[in-house]
Parts: sequence; C-alpha cells; structure tokens
Amino acid sequence: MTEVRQQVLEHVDAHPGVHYKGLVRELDIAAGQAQYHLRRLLDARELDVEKIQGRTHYFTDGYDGWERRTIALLRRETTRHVIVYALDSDGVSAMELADELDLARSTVSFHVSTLVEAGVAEKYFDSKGRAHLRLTRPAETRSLLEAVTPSLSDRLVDRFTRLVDASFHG
Amino acid sequence: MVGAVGEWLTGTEAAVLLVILVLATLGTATLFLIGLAGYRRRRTRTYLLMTVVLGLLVVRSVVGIGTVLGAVPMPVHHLIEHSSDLAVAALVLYALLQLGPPSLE
Repeated sequence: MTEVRQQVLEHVDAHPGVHYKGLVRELDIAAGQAQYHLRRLLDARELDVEKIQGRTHYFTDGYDGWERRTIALLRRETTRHVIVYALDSDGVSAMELADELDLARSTVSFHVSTLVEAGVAEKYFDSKGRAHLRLTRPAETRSLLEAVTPSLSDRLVDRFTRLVDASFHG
Repeated sequence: MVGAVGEWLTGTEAAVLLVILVLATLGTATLFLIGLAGYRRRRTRTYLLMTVVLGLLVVRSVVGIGTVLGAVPMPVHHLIEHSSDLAVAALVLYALLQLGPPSLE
C-alpha cells in the first residue's frame, strides 16, 4: 500500500465518519488524489461509506449500518443537540425540543425525520396525539457521542439552516 | 500599485477598493458555499432561492474587482450590479410570498 493510501486509511480510522472535504483539508492532499485513494480503499473493502443528505461519510471496518448513520448524524451540530437532549429523557415531545433548544418547528421536524429515517430514534404519539421522540439505542448512542464532534463547516451550515428555518418557516 | 485602473479613481483608492472587494468576495463566497450545503441537505425551494441570492452577492463582488482592474466597462458594471439588486429583492420577496399564511400542522 502506498504511503498516502496508508495515511488516508489511518485518518479515517482515527476520525470515524469523516467526510471527503474534511479528509482533504486535514491531510493536505490534492482532491483528485484523495478521490483516487478512497476509491481504491473502497474497492479493496478497507473502507465503508454512508451517504446522508448528499454528504459522504467514510468509515473503517467494524461499524455496522446503525453505528455509521449515528456517527454521521452526531457530526451535525443541531442533530447532535437533539440526540443529547433526547438521551436525558425517556421520550421527549417535538414541542419541548423546539422550546428547550430554541429551534423553529420546521427545524425540529426536519431533524426528527432524519433521526427516524436513520433508525437512531423512533417517533410515537401520546394519548393527546402529540409527536414524541425516543432514541432506539440510548446506551450505544451515548458511547458513540464521545467518538465524534462536529467540524466548523458543519456548525456553520447547521446554523444557516436554523436561521433560514426560523426566518421563513417558523 | 494597481496597474490598469479606470480613470475614475486614483491608485490609492483602487488599492483600498480592491482589498475591500477581495474580502467581500471571500466572505460572500463562504456564505454561498454554506448556503449550497444547506440546500443540498434540505432541497426546498426556499433554500434554493437563498443560495441563488448568496451566489448573486459573489457575482457582484467579482464584477467589482473586474471594474477596478479595468476589465469590466462602467456601463456594464452598473447594469450587472443594479440588475442583481433587482434580482435579490425579487427572489427574497418571492421566497416570502410563496410561504403563504401560517397553517396548523
């Protein structure tokens, strides 16, 4: 294995769920070079990918699909906050999430469906028909939480979407 | 300092303007990329409109640089800059109008 490819592999191993741009930036290699080595590593089944909302996250072996999706979502600032909030309670209402995290209802609804789609959380309704969110695997989610933190660019995009949601959708 | 500048400004003015325009380009380009990433996640019309608006701001700065360097003639500069103002106003107004009144979920 070439030195660069080894470097790429080690970086992905140390940063599970890293996305393509983050890898290029951190390793300071050309985009085309990164693309080439990632492709070869994927072909050799040394790496796995998880695509969420147009963004590709890379993983080394040893994470199942649920873990990959959870890690990828924990790299997004607002989703991460929703997860952390839900961790501390056995079922939280969408209304409470919006109030406590100071998010627009459309922002909450987007993140709730993303989490449900990824199998990280499940949605249920109480006797009054209000939507609630509950993590599917709280203990495992908590241990993954420490493995990753969102990058600056992720934080900025997240805040932009919150701003647009709050201004346009309420 | 700056070689090919229009007759409408001195070398010092051109240098200051150029610094401002380069910073504006970096700032608006960053915002545009953030907007683009937001649109890729949400794929809604509102996000598309915001991204186009941010893209227009980048175009404005780039045209400004072109004008200071003498590459864009003044009439063309004014035409592009003020047309983009019109487009920004129209796009944001459209984004607001297409939302309609609040509805119960």
